Amino acid sequence: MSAPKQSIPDAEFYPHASAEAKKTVDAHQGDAPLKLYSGWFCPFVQRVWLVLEEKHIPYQYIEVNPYHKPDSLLRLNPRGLVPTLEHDNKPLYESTVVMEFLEDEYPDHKPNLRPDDPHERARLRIWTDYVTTRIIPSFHRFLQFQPSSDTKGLDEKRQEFLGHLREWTAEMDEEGPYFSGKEPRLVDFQMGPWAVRLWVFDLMKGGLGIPAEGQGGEHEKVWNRYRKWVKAIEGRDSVKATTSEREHFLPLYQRYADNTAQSELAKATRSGRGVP
Amino acid sequence: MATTGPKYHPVATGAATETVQQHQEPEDLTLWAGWFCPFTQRAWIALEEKSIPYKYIEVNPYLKDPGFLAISPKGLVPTLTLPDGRPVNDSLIICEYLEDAHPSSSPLLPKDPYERAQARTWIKHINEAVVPAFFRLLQAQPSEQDKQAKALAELNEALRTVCQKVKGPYFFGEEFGLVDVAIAPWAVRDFIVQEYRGFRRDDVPGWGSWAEALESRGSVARTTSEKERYVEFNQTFLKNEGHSMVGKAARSGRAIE
Repeated sequence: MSAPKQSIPDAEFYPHASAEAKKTVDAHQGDAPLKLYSGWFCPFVQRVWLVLEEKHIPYQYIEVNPYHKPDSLLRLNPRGLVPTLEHDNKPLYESTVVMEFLEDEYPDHKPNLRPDDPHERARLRIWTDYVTTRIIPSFHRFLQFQPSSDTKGLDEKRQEFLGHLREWTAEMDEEGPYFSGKEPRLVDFQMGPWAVRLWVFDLMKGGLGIPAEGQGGEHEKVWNRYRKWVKAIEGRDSVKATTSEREHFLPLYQRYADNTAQSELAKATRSGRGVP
Repeated sequence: MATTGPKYHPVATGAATETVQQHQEPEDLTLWAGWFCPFTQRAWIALEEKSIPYKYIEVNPYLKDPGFLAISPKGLVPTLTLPDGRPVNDSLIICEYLEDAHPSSSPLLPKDPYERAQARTWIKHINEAVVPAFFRLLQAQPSEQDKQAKALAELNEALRTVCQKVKGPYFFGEEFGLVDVAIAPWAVRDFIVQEYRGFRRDDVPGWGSWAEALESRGSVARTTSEKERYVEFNQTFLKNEGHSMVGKAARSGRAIE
């Protein structure tokens, strides 16, 4: 007997990871004390997944169908949201909290993703908050903007989003390539999942709008720095290992672009609120 | 000089007076503070708990003094500055900074990583659910009965969830910590919504005993000013004029940024 559908499905979405991510999933099916309840497509999950991969922490990967949430997840987290981490049968959620937990719990698993200097640690937490409270909501306002015929309104959302990207990038260490310098930190993996999804705007929203190299005008320096950062992120093994086939993302993102998506984040964006 | 923003008593009063006076000498750390500000009080409590030397400087954030804006671009209190002038902003990030920089002075986070994660989860809940609900209630006018009732229900619910987890007398039991720090300034201020907005401590199981323990904690008591001065400051909210970013954020339904 199949479980009743818990909500209207967002799309005929592809049920599991693909491409490189599938290899990673397959390699993490064995029982482990740490279990990651995941949606292969979810950028919040990817934040946590990146840290697990970076630090080579053993974990069991459990795919969660958002329309058929397993009881095992609901017992841990009544809202059934991903990512949920199960550690010794106890639940952990909220991606930023989980990422700090992994640093606290596995200090011997390198790399350490928090700088030693307390002030730099604090500074990176501020710019992590910025990702969650400014960049992600504006990403979604841009993505979900309707009607698409209102090109002026769409461009306002585009410029708002690009402005936040620039403001964040301006705080990066000058050399980099990562936010804080030569070494990646949590903040890079807080933002990374959205940076690797920006192709959506070129496909579905009339263009992302980041000027080509040499065309940035007054913003040339900051866009160059951004490009340098993105190149470094995309080159990380952890990012490659947690990325699925682009075509399988399309039906999901089409729903966001049409503003018919029913995820908590989609609804929050429509009602003018931030990340739930 | 023209002042925008509420008229309020310019300095700390009551028990906080002496604490301010005891922190007028230059030290490694400087706390740029608004005596009235609950977010300032979080950072102030943490400094006091950990007995970290600091200089206290009173700031009227509504004046937008350029010197202050240079170290705190949004012009928000609290700001902590280091000897080289580097700032730390955001009350909770300041608290985590003090933990990182002074780990052995009266630690305010549990040693166990899972418990630390629990602390951070509940601090997030306090910041994202309890505090905005408090401000929405404060701003709902007597003429807006529906708004008040909704805001009161939201505050009660947000408080109820976290109070369920309190071991007593403090969040983790005997040890006072950052979860307590995160909410204590609102235990100090809930008398305002009791008097003006129909809030009752008894309506939330566990809040009365936790709030009393918080109010009587030394670090909280000595960073608290006279009650009447808080009412005077909050006259702006009580009239829903909200000059502050907190007020604007609460009115538009967003988390405080």
